[in-house]
Amino acid sequence: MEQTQTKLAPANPDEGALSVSDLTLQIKGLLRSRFSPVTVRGEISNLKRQASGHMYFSLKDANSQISCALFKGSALKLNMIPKEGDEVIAIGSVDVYGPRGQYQLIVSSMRAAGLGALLVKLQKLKEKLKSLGYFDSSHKKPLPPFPKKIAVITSPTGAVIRDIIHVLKRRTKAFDLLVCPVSVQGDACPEQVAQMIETVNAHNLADVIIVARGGGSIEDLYGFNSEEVASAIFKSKIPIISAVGHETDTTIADCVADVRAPTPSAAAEIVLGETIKYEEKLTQASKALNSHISYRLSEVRSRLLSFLSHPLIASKDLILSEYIQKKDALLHKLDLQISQSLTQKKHLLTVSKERLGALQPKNQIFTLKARLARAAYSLKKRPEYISDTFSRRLNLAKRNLAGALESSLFGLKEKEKALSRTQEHLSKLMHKLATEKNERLKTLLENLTAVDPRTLMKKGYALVFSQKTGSIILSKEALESEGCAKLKMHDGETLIQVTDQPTKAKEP
Amino acid sequence: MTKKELKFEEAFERLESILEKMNSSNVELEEALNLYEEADGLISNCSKKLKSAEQKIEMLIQKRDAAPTSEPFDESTLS
Repeated sequence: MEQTQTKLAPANPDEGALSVSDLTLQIKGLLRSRFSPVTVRGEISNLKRQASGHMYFSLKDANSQISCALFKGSALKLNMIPKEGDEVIAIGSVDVYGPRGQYQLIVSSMRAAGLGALLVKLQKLKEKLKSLGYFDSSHKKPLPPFPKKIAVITSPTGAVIRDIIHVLKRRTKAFDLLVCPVSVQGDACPEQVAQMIETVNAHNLADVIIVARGGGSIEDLYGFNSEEVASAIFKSKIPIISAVGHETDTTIADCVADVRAPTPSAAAEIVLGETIKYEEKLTQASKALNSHISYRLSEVRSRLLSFLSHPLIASKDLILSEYIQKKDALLHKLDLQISQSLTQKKHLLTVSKERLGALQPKNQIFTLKARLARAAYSLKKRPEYISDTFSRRLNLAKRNLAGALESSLFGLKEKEKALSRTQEHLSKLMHKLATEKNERLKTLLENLTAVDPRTLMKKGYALVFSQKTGSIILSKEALESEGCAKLKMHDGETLIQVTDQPTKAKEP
Repeated sequence: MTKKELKFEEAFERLESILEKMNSSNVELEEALNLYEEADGLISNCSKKLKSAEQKIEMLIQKRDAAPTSEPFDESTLS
């Protein structure tokens, strides 16, 4: 500044003047370099909210005030909703608004004042509880893996319970929920929350408790930083999940709880995490199992089908053909054997019939007659034959004896008598034998004579001979076919002629 | 509770070992079918245990000098 003055002074005195804009620019730069950032405490007044989302107000204290602008981007990040009369601590930078020549504070963040004392108190409580072991991990209870009943200690209205129910419903059906209504801010909050924890424990109303609240200023979260709530959580037999405020706000309740969830929705995910995990695993297992078994079954089915389509099974004739043919051949053979056997039997029957015919008395008589004729013939020759034989044997014996006698006569005189006796005896025997034989011969002859056809003929029998062949005619048919024949009777032969009356022609 | 959990986990372990066994290719069909039946039973038992709750949403009603009761929670009041 000094330099500028000395530089400009000798020339045109006007030349040393700055433009307003230049000055403003220089002031702006100066203020910015000095008051950025700056933290200031004051009370909000003249609060104006623009439709654009920007906010304009003044911060004031007993003696001074400063215009403030809180632009939309920063306004949205606030943990509080600024109200007229709020004592706040604002952080920002001092700037100059040229068109009006006004300086103002551009607020980048703001929080309620009085925090310092609160934070100090909170810190002291934290240390106390810590020394009591409230935060020790050894006191943390494990969450039940499959909680049936979940108690949610929160406001029965609002986004928190809605989010929790929404998440739970979306993830699984396997839960029962008990909404335990409490006020989550204000003076009543600590007592109500603590008492509710005790009630749920006393009546064993749930397997797990969620203590939840949405985000807010540190004052809003006051109840969850209270010793009462901390103590109730610590003493709870039922595991507690805390989900208080945003992730950045860690309350004492969060520290004491068995599990801390960053948000109420996250608490819902955590509480049923195992259930959901196992449900998913079960679904997967079921799918794997089914796909595996259906694969195995389809494999077996296709193998079966390929067996079925095998030519040997598809057409059973192929397997059976051999047997079918064998069967047919056997049947054919059987037919043949039956018919052959039948033919044989028929033949036998015919033969038997023929034999039976031959055995008819009429036929038998003819046969017997023929046999009789043959017997008669041979008997006629028998006596001559027998006498011839004997005389031959007699002569032979005589010759033998004579020879023997002659040869014995010389040396054996004493045997002569015996011999002569024997001779005598022999001749006697011979004689007797001859006589006997002759007697028998006579009888035989007589018998023979009785059966001699000639004798028969004398009784009226006749023999019929063919005139042409000279052989005996044995049947009436033969005789009829001959027409005429030779009839032999005991006293001679005569010719006979067969007339119309065959019955009479046969009669002798 | 502890005993039930143990049973559940045992069942689950068995289920997993069955799946492992079935995935190894050298399981006879007969055995595979038996394993399937067992696993199916395990799955339905485990599911039953998991789903024994019925998505009931109630609100606790505190009464002076009496045990707390509950009534169905009216979700329609939530936006």
